[in-house]
Amino acid sequence: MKRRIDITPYLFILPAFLFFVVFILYPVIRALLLAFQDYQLTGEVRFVGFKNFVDGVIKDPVFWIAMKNTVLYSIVRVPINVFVGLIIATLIYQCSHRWQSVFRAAYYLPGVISLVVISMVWKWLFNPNYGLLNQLLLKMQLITQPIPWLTSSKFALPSLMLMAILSSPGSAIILYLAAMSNIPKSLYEAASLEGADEFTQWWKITVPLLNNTTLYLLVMNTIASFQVFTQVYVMTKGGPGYATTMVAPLIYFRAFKDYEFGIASAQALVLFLIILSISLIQFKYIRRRGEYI
Amino acid sequence: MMWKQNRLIVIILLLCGAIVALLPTYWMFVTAFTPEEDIIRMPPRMIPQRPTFENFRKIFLLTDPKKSLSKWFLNSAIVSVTVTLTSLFVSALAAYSFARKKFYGKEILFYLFISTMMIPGEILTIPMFLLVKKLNLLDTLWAIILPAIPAPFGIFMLRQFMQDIPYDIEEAARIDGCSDLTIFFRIILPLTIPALTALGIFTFITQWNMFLWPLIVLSSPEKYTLQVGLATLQEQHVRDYGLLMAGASVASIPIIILFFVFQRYFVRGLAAIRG
Repeated sequence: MKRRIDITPYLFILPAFLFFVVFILYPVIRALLLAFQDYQLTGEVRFVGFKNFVDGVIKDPVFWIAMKNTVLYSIVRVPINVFVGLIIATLIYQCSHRWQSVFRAAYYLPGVISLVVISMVWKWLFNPNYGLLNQLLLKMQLITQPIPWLTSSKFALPSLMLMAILSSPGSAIILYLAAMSNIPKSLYEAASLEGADEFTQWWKITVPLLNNTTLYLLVMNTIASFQVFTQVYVMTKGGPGYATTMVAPLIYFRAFKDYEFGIASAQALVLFLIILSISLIQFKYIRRRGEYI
Repeated sequence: MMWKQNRLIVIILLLCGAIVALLPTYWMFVTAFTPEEDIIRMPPRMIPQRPTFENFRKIFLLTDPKKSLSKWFLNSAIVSVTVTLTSLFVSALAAYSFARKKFYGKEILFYLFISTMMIPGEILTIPMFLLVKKLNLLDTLWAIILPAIPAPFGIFMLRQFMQDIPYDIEEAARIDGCSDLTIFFRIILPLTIPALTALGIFTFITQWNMFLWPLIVLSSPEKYTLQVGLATLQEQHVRDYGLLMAGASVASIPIIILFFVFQRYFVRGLAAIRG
């Protein structure tokens, strides 16, 4: 029997493949090369070994400030966001179907609005003289002086954290609700028969069985948090001083304002390696524990 | 009895949380409809006392029509619609092949695609910028549209969905003499509509809200998308919060409408990302 190669399957893939090669694969390879090159705006390229890493990472104090701010921001906001998501999802899960869909929508809605808009609104809320936040706090007599939220180097980074914490963890809530509905009801029935109260059931059954979701959310949120850009760009431009300078905005300014493509690429590669290691932790952990839902 | 009481407390707690979550969005609309002189009046009113369209009128007439909010709105719409339709079509074609065809190199190709799913787009901005510059596409909407078309995640999700379509329908059509292309358009695509809708909504919203990449490649105001336009606007009109919130409202309203029309897809779409 003569075998003929059918090219139809390849033709179906061809358009996606071409776009993929030009706009993903090639840039990925180029990104790796650029980190080791000196790139002039004239297009002149020269290999410089690890010079960009020395100048842009090891010896650049601003990069370390940006890294410190980014880590601090992530460590504070990510666990709180995920925990708040778990609590809200637990509460929503107790409600009737009608209320469930109302709350799902209410908590998810802010998540579809653009970060540029959200940042503009928060900048207005944070306005020291007329902003709603200071007005409310003054009225409730929680403060006596208006807080200079974004304009003082002491409050600027905590203000960005506060904004992230008070923003609804919509997708975490949706994912937790989906995972909760997969937990077999029989587990809870067995637990009640043995006299476990509702909190014990939540703590001993629900929370452990949501481990994979929790881990997934922690990793995904950390990755997103390490790339925070829009809030900083719109609200503070990294200031005052370097108080809110973070890694992604720093890379942007190095590349597209200073035109230091080589140095910015080295910094981007370091950021990528950090993100990659965070996601590898997740894969390792999940494989060891195995999926049980 | 005890349970009834608890449920009331749960709902009250959730309502309080929802107020916190929705307050910024609500405050954006309130400020947008408040006349300029009332915005800095203290104490702030939670409901506008003298609602007005003045801020909206001002922002639409702000500069010459070529560089105005309506132009930016149009640019955003062009980009989002084009990317969504093209990306969905290209991804669906590839997903069909990956889901239902046997061919040499299938596994390797598929894993090549999805292995790049974890690479954050932010990392690629510099080489992408140099590429777009070389293609002479800087400061055009093509610079945003073309790089957004390859969607490894979309291929992955559509493949999962297409794998579950029963084979006998396809076999029957093949016996009737239908070509692969006919089967794709007449049978597979219509049966994939739920997944395509969910993916389409997500692609559209992602494009509509995209900021960093358009900010990098667009330089002339008449080419701006809404997000880039708003960000520059808030640098020029630092104190005019009524105007800025009106602009922010205009940028959000299409997305909010989309959200309410396709609400159930948001839940399903997210579940698909996880699963």
